[in-house]
Amino acid sequence: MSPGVGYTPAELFAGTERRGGFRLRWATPAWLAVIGALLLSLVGIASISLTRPELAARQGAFLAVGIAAASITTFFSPRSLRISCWVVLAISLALLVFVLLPFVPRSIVTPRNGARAWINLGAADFQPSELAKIAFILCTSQWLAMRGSPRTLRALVAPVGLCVALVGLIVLEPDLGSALLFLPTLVAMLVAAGTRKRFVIAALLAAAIAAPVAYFAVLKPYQRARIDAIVAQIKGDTRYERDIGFQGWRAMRLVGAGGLFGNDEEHARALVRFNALPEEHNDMVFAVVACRFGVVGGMLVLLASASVAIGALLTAWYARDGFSKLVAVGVGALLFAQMTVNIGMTIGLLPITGVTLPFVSYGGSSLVACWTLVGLLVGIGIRPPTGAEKCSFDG
Amino acid sequence: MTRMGEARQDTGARGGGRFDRRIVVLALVGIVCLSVIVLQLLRLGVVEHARHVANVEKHLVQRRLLPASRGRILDRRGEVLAADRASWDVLLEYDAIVGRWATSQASRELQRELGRPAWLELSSSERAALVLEREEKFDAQMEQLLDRLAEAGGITRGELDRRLDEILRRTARESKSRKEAMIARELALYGEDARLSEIDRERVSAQLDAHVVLPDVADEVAFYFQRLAEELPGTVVVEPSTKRWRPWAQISYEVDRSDFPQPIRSSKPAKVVVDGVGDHLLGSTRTQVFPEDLKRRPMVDPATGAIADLGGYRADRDIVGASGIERTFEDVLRGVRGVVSRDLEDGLESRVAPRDGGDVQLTVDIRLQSRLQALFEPETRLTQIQQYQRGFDPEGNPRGGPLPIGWNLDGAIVVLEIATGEVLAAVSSPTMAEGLAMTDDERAVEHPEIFRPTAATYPPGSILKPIVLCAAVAEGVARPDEAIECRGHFFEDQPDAVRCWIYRRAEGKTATHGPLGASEALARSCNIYFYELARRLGPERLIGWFRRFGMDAAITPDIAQQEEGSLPSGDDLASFRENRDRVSPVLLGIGQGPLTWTPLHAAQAFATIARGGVWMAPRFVRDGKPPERVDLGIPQGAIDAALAGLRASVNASYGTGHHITLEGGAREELFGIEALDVWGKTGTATAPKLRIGDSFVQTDHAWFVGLVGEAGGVPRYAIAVVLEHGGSGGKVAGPVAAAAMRALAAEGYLGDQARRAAGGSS
Repeated sequence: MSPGVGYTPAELFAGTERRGGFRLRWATPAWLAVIGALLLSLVGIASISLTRPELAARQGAFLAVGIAAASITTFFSPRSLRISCWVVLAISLALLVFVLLPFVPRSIVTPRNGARAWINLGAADFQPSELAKIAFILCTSQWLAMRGSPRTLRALVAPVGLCVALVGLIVLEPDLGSALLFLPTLVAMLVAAGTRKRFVIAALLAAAIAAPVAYFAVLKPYQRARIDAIVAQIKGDTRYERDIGFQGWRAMRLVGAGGLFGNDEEHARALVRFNALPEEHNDMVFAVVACRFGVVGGMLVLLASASVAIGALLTAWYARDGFSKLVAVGVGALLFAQMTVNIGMTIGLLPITGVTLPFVSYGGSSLVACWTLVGLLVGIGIRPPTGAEKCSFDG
Repeated sequence: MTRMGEARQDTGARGGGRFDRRIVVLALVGIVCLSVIVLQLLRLGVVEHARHVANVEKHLVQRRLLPASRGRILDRRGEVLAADRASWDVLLEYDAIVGRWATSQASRELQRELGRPAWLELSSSERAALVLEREEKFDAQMEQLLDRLAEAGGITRGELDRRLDEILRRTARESKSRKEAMIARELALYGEDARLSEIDRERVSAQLDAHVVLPDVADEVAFYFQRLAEELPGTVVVEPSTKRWRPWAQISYEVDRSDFPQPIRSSKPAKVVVDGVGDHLLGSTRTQVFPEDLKRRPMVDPATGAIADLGGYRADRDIVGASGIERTFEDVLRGVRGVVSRDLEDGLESRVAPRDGGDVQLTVDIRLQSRLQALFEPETRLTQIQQYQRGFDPEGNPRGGPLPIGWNLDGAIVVLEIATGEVLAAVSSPTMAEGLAMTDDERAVEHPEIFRPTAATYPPGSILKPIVLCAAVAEGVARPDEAIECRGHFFEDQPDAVRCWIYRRAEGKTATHGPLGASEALARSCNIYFYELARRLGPERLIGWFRRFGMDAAITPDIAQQEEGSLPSGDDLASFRENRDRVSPVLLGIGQGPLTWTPLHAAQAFATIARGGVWMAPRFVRDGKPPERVDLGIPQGAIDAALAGLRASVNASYGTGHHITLEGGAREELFGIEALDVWGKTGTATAPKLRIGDSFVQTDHAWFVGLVGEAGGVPRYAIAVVLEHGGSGGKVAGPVAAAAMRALAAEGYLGDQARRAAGGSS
């Protein structure tokens, strides 16, 4: 590659030469992620069944589909991923644009809570933003693996640009919560790829400055109201408890009411039901977990999520090449960020954002997508380094 | 090959290197996030656990409040004056009022007949046509129902339609303002994304509820409409309700006129209907809760949302005492609600029974109050301007006056029991009920909302003279047997000012009273005598004694609506001194100047004298507390002289309260009441100008304040009468006071003989 000239098509597919070595490494830390994911999925089914037993059965079906999807994903070698990532990206972009088109009939894209973010597939709904997350991780990893550690600002243009494009399309739906998750994922991947510290610090500072600007100039009134509500809630001010802050306060109180060991099934069900917790089977499911299983149950969820993240990081540690390392870091970062944001908003630290708890919340799209990400991890983990890789981002 | 760094052989074994370090950095960031979450989790689940449990568990309890009934207000003898009474309201559903009921019933019937599939196959215009046709039948049913409602409610159909129109208007107003508020809120929150079409379709609660068309109907009416409600579903609703029942609110009465002054006397009683007996005193309740009520005693603690005080006020629906005794004794009358708590989890119920409110017993006798209130009805003519009040000149021509004959006078009557300080009657004319029937202009002039016995202040005039006497003797500046000469005018150098009321040099009247002792001076109401006493006392000491008699103070603890009266202030006295004003301090002795008091003050002051100079607070309510007595230290000689003077005033022919002069010169005694002894003082106090139309008229308020007891006995009751702008105290207020005394006797308060003489039944 000649420096600073531009990108040739060949470069897009760099590193995809066939390598030898077919032996698989079954003892991979990626299984930590699998165990964590399984535990979370089961806790999710148990919590959903507390208030919505009919949905719990469906979630079980989705779980089976997810595990199947994960298994299929492991068959994809990193090489094939590096080739096909652009196709996946193209499909994602097309679908993201599709849901935004105004003339699409409601039977195909049903608005939910004012957002056009779901495609109706009959038996289930499919969220293009989930596919976009997978495409983003793969494509960014490929790009960075191809170009090497980004040492200049110019080198960051492409990954950041891709992120902005996808975020922009998702924000238009509008689905601010999902869009926001791209940012920590990108930052984690750039940090792992060796971006200069000063750029990272500058970016964080820029975000810190942009936040108040966004609050006053960019955010819509109801989004501002949500931020006002969480600030009041953190201060203990209950003035929004009856309207905008209702969801946040109720969730937080139910978590507190779980105590150390939780309540028995009847009582927990009564508490959740008569406190009218909204979205108790998806967004707010952690409150149900904590109410039913107490702090102990909540810790279990945290432990399982940590297990997923640690599994991802260790997979990155032991991965064979730069691409694989970055994919693993991306998967771990995405899942961990989503868990943190969701639990944060349930326990009264972050504003309500509409982000679900990975593996636990009800939702076929989300569950299958998350298991696919775990499948990617396993696919990376079981393929040991062959000794002929370039670019492991060690510089 | 890559540009930067050499390609390293990664054998897959754990190696060092910068990448691995960065992984560690990312892991650390993750650990920090997890720690924050863990800490918050522990804080919520362990530290704050109890608080959150309480907050969350309270939603598992469904509460239903049980109403408590409000206490009764009773009169002196136990008659119920105000009480809760269960009643029924008849309501109409909103859809019926607005005319939709017929359409929906027609549509439903057609659907049932044709079957739903066939109905849906018709075009909407076909359906509309069929419905229109069928509607007529239901319209007729509705009309019939409305006619029956009007008939049952004792109102015309036009009046019922008017009520329905009012409901429609009110609902439209409510719907409009609520929708405006919702649209404003939606726009503020969501900007262009606001979904306004949904708001338009929403109905406010008034459009979904039923509305009262016939309040407070009898049981039979309620049951009749309950049956109709079953026949015509969706139209009429019957609901139980509680009303405040005031049985004495409207009294039909026959006023005995056989002892009235001759020109208005009649052997036939006057049939009157009195509206609003004692309504100022009883007060009223309101169903609207004000922020002050919620602040003072909320039912729900605003901080926690839990029920703090079951007897507290509820924001949406409650009964609050608004005025009078209902308000002053709100905390006694108000009961404490009960509550049924149902645990939603296991379905168990627990019950706290409601505690009904306590009764309040008044000192007032409602029968006496009714008799006295009836005296103010125009049919009696007793409280109107009459010619006998002005008299006739020596040639027999009628004397004129500022107000026309037949003009109805407003005023007050207070009857006080001397021994206990209890108020037996406190009459205010006009009553609140009469005030409601007035036009705004009339109300602006007559002020029916004022409870005149305690809240209307008047200049006392000559009524104050017994108090001035007591003050002077108590201070030692005069002796009861000392003679003071009346020369017609007080100041040597000013023959036309500061005069006695019989001395008018300009008209050629130069009569004087000559030397008078205390009792005779009082009976003749000689001004010069009392100017002299005032001069000797000086304004400071005189005002101090007025204060001791209760002027310038709120004297009863039982009524909120009361005025203190007024006395000359320190500034007034200072200006007297600075301007070397020698007239004003002296005028205080005859009750003229910057002085006002209420009829209750007057009755109380006279009762104090009758008690030998012992002050007691007048009470309207019996609460079992012994009355506080304050001995003012007035020498017995003063008391005796004052009482003798008051006695002579009505019994001696020279007394100002003795007689009226009829046409032709005949005299008629004012207080020749069988079996009773009467003491009294007349007062004619200069009033503020009265506005009639565009002109202002100078008048006097007519006072009579007296004491009455059984013949040969001591004074038992004090009575104060004031008639606004009436003119001469003795001639206008005197007959009213006499009628009041007869009423008191007829109710049995002054012994059997007097009762029989007054025509009272046993």
